[in-house]
Amino acid sequence: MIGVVKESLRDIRRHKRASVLLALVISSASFLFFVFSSAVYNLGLAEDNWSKQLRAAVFFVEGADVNQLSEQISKVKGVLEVKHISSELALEILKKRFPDEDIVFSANSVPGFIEARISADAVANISLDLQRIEGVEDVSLSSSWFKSLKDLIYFSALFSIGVMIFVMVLSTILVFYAVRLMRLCGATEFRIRVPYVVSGVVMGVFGASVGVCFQYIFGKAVDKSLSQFIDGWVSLTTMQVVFVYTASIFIGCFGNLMAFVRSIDDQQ
Amino acid sequence: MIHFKSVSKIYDNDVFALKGIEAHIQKGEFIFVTGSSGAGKSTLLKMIYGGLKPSDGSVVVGGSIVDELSSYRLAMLRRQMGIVFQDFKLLWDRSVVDNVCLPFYVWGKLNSENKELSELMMKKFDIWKYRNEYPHKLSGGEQQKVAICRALVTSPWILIADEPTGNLDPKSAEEVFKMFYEAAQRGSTVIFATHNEHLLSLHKGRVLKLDKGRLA
Repeated sequence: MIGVVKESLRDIRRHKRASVLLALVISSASFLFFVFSSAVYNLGLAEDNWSKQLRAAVFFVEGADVNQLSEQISKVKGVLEVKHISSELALEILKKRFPDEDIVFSANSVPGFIEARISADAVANISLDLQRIEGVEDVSLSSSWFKSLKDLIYFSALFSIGVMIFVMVLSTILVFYAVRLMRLCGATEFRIRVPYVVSGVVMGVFGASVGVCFQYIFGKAVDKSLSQFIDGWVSLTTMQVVFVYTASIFIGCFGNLMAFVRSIDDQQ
Repeated sequence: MIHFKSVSKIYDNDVFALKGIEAHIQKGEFIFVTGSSGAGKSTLLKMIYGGLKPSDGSVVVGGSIVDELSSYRLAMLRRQMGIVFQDFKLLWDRSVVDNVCLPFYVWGKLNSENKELSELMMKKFDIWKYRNEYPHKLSGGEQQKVAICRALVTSPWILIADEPTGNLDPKSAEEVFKMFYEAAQRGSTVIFATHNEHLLSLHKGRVLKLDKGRLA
C-alpha cells in the first residue's frame, strides 16, 4: 500500500503540468464557491437586519393634508409605522448623510415626505398600493437594489456550480480512457483505484488550500472596502472551510470513481 | 492454447456479430483473421482478452474460460497478452517512454531492470530518440511503433493486433508487420486481424476468414 501511495506521488511529480492545472481548476471552483457562499451569508445577515428597517418614502403633492394622508397610509396592508419628515428634518438628515459635502439647499428646497416602515413580505406590492392614495406624488423604496443584488448572487451561484460540474465531467472523460487502457494492460482494480484516489486527495487538498488563501485575501479586501456600509464582512466560516475541503477532495476523486463504474459497464 | 467453443455473440440491437465459431489456436502460431468490415474480426479478438463476453459458447485461453474469470484473474491473464489497436490507444498526456512503460507501471513493477528493458525495446524500434516527446508530435507510423513497443515490452505469450496497419502507408505497414513476425519467431502466438490482401499474400500464417460472423 505504501509503495502504491509513493508511486502515486511520483506520478503527480511526473505530470507536473497536468497536476498544477487540475489543482488550479479546483482552486478556482473553491474560490468561486467561497465568494458565492460568503456573499450569500453576508447578504443573509444584512437581509435580517434590513428587513426590520425597510422603509418607503412617500412624497405628496403640495397642499395635501399630511395628517389625513398619514392616517390613510397607515391603513395600507404591510405598513407597520408612519412618520412625517418635514422639509427641515429632511435637510438635517441630508446633512448627516453627507457630512463632507457642503449642503447649499434651503429648508424649503428639500421636499418633506411621509416615511412608512414596511414589512418585508409586502415589499413587492406596497409601492402600487401607496401610489393609489389621492395626494401621493411618488413613492421611493429603499430595497429595490437589494433584490437585483440577490439575483446577481444567485446567478454567480449557478455559475460556480456549473464550473464544478464541468470539472467533474471533464475529469470523468479523461480518466475513463486511461482506465480502460490500464485494464487492457493487466491492471488490477486496486492498482487503478489507489493512485487516482491518492492523487485526487492530494490535488483536492492543495486546490482547496489555495482557494482558502485567495478567499482570505479577498475577504480582507472586501471588508476594508465595504467597512463604511457593512459592519464586519464574514469571509471564512468553519463550515465553509470544511465543506470546501470535502468537496475539493470529492471533485478530485469523483471523476475517477465515475470512470470505474462506466468502464465496468463497458466490459459487459 | 486458445479455444473458441461454439462462440456466438449477439449485440443489444439483435445483430449477430459471431455465429457458432469453432476454432483452436496453438502456441506460437501466426494467425491472420480476415474478412470485410463488420464480419466480426474485432468482436472475435475482444473475446480473447475479455473485452466482450460471448452470448453463447465459451472462449478458453490457457485453460481458463475467459468470461468466468474474476476481475483479478482476468487482469493476471491480460498480463500474458499484448494488445495493439488500429487507433494506437496511446495516453496523450504521457511521454513516449511513459506510454511504453505503462504495463510495468500498472503492474507496480516499474523498476530499473524493466526500465532498461523498455529502453532496449525502444532503441530496437528506433523510437528512443522520441522518448521525452508526447505522442501527438509523432507520425502515425511512429505512434503505432510506440503502441507495439508497449505490447511487446512485457514479452507476452499472446499478441493480439486489431488492424494495426489500417491507418498506415504501405512502407510503415510492412515495417509494423515485420515486428509482429519477429515476435512470433520468438515464440509468441500472434493473432493479426487485417483486410489487407497484400500482406496476406506476402507472409505465411494460418488464415481464419470471417464472413458475416461465421468462419468461411
